[in-house]
Amino acid sequence: MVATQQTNENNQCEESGGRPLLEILDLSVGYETGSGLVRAVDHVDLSLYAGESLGIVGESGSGKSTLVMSVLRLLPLDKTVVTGTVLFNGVDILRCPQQEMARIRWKEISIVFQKSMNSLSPVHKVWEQVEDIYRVHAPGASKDEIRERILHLFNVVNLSPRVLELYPHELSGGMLQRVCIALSLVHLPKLVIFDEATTALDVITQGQILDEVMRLERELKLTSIIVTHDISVVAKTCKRVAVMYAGRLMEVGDVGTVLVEPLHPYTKGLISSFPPLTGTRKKITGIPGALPDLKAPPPGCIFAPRCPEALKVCKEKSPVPTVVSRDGEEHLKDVKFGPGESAGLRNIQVPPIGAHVVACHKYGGDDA
Amino acid sequence: MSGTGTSSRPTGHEEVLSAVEIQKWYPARRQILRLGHKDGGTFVKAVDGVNFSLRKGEILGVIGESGCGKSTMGKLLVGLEVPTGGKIYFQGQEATSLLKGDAKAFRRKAQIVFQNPFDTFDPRHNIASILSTPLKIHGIGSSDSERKEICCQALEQAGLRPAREYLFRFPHELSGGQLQRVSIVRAMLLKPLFLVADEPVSMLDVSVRADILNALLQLSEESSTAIVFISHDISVTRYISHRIAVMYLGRIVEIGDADEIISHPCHPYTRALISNFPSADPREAREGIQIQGEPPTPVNPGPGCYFAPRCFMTSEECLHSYPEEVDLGGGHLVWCHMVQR
Amino acid sequence: MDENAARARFTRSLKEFWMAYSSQKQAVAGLLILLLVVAVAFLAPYISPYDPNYLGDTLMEAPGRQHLLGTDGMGRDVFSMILHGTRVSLLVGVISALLSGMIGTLVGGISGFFGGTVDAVISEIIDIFLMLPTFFLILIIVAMFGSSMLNVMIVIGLTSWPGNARLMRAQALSLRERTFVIGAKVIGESRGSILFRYIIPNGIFPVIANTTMQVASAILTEAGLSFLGLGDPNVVSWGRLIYDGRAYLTSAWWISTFAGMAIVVTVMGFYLIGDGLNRVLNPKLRDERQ
Repeated sequence: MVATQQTNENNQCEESGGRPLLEILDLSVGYETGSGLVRAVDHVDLSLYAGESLGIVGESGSGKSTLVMSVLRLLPLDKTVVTGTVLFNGVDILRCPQQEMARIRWKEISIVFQKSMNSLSPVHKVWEQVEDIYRVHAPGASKDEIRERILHLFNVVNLSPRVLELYPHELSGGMLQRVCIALSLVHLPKLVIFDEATTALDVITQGQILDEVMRLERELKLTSIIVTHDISVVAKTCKRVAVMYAGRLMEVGDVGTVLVEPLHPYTKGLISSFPPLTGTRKKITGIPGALPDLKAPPPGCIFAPRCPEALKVCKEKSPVPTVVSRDGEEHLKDVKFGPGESAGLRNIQVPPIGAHVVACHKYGGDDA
Repeated sequence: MSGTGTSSRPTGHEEVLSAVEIQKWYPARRQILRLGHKDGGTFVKAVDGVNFSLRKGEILGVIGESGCGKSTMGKLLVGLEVPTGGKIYFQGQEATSLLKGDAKAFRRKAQIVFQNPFDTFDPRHNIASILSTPLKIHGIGSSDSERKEICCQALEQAGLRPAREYLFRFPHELSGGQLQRVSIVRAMLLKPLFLVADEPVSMLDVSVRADILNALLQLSEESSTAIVFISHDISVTRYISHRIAVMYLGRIVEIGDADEIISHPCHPYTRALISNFPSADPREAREGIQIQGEPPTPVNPGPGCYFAPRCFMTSEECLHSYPEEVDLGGGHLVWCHMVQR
Repeated sequence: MDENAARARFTRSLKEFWMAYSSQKQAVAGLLILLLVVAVAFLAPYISPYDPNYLGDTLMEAPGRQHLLGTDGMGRDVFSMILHGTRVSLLVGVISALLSGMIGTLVGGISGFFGGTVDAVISEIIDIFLMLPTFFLILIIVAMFGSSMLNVMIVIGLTSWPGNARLMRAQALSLRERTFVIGAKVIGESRGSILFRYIIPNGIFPVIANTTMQVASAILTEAGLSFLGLGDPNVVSWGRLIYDGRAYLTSAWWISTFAGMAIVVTVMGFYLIGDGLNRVLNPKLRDERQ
């Protein structure tokens, strides 16, 4: 059931086929504020294998953006406390030297933000900016080489070459976002992160861009993370989904499993908050209550105060993320994972491809 | 009155609101290069001839992309903008002259809930003051304590219990969902004829949206207030609405029963819109209809169908004349040359 | 209980304001200066060693034990005159700045909130006032209508409001687009009541800060007028002291110098307070601080 790849070599070893491309291990991020530490991300374990597309879903304050920002080490150093480990392709992201990180950013991991288009300079033509950005990681590249590469990518994201000669204000929001997606692909990164990249766009533009992202994943064999508050974007685009709430992971698994037959009460609540577009109209219900104060989180499960199914134990002990099997019959007793106490980083068990992980006492999360 | 569709789900017989050919044209900024237009000036036609009517207690959803004029239409209905053409009638009474003659009477009939709950209230006023102000202005309740009592009742009814806890709080101490409830409560205190809800849940978290939508539904049922629900979210609009109107560049291109519009969209634009709207159910994978470009700004569109330049099924006719209304029966109206009667 | 909660909340926001204000050293220094000046103004009759109008026997005596800051050409005690002059300068400064603040708030608020033609006309008027050489205008008016203290205060107030009006107009322009102002319209508030209940209270903070600084410039203007001999001849003011001491500048430097120092210190105090308030109250600077 659990494909544990125990490679006892040291950290510098070549990437082994069985290990995920990105491993987030016991990652916590706190924001320092005048009145206390806000636990924006709290002991998150998440892994992503090459070729997967992962959607991270959560409401505001769930820590989903903080999570991906810490993977790129883009958080302000003076105001955040980051603990845990992020391994990307064997490199310890949080501890590698600054130059190494600068190389990894954009070349190996790139990101498209909701407001990426605002980062384009209004007084320079798209082409000039594209050229500059390309040269950051390839200083010696010739104009022709860059143009050829860019035009290829514009073709991929469905933009006409004419766009290169325009100023950003002459483009619509959707076209600008396409430019930004093309820019994120210039060096063929191993991982592309879309942080609410289609949120501000209109329905039709969003639909078209999502279709293109899916096509890119197929054609360029991209590994991608889509961070969004909108379940339907994940439902349409991703293979796997991670549901976050108040800085913790609630449920991780295949989209077809988690969004169709959710196990975690939070996921259930979230899904029943979405009115269906077709079929019979059934009454939708929200989740009562509000996000807890992340400066002083309640003991036990963070969702317990709002959970309709909370047991006594939920309010006392934090549930441990547990792999549950897919047959539905026996999803109670299974294998725990997480960083071993004295084990080296390479010895950590990670859940296998396609595992369904739930952090809830109802599904075996109670024995630590 | 062309285009006044009849709901297939009548919830009352009294017509409370009707819009006849309403228009809002803004003079376009002077352009350095005057391209294409000879004389007569250029106009941004935010709303360009909209017709519909609302029955008592009916909820009409208005969907469309940004810039389609749905928000401007909402503002016209509540008198925040004055139409440059056409007429709006409240129970047969012409609205613009009512606004000029007796502004307070107008305000009592038409209320609005805004998109951004965090900016809807003056940060310096507490909830008690926010809610009792409209009562005071319109002379409802004889004393401060009576008005406070009315506010408490309304808060409790909207699920903000115990009301006394909320009365002396300030807006920044409430969550977005709670603020939006207060916003609905304030609008309903005046028992308006109809309420415009302009993207009321788009800034709220998914898990509190449902409660706000249900609160709107409940209030509309209890006091049979008609609602114009403006949104870009199609599934939310379908959930709450009896009828749906689809707008494109200032005009309604299709209107009809909500389920009918969603399951049998006829206008190519509606079809593109719905097919591109992602579903929360991964089993319901749809291939989005590809259409070119993005909605242009409505500067002197036409003379043909406004959607023709992006449409995937145009004919010669579409480029020359704006399509006539096609009645598909059951109140389903569509404006498209390619749809057969 | 509810009322108590509201009061507690008010105290809390006052406390927050004080925390932000008192974290600035200069602003606290300004406040201390102001407290000193106000105390002097109140206690002048009790702490001054002589009657400021008493003509002593020793003329132009240098500062010493008898006369702390010396005497002037007519034998009056300079120290006592400066103490009494505090009252005049403070009064003129505060009243004319208040007048200017009120006119500026009202005119700017109306202009920015009502917009359209009203705004166009008022903006022109504001620009004209800003272009006028104000000091000469004051000179002319004082020359025409006499130089009583009341006239001086009114004239300074009436010529210094355009700065405040511009600040208030800018605030009103952005506030009127805010949802809560539009919402007030929808619930039926009249335009006047929106102006006074929503626009002015939310937009007045930059005006308050600016008005504090204007106290300083009003004190300077009054001194300038007195120096030119156009101050109220019946009262002792700092400007008048400098004016009187001008003739003896080479032989009795102390007459003008100490009065000048009093002006510098007071003006600086108001500037420091104004600057401190601006940092706490002005929304733009407040965002930068965070």
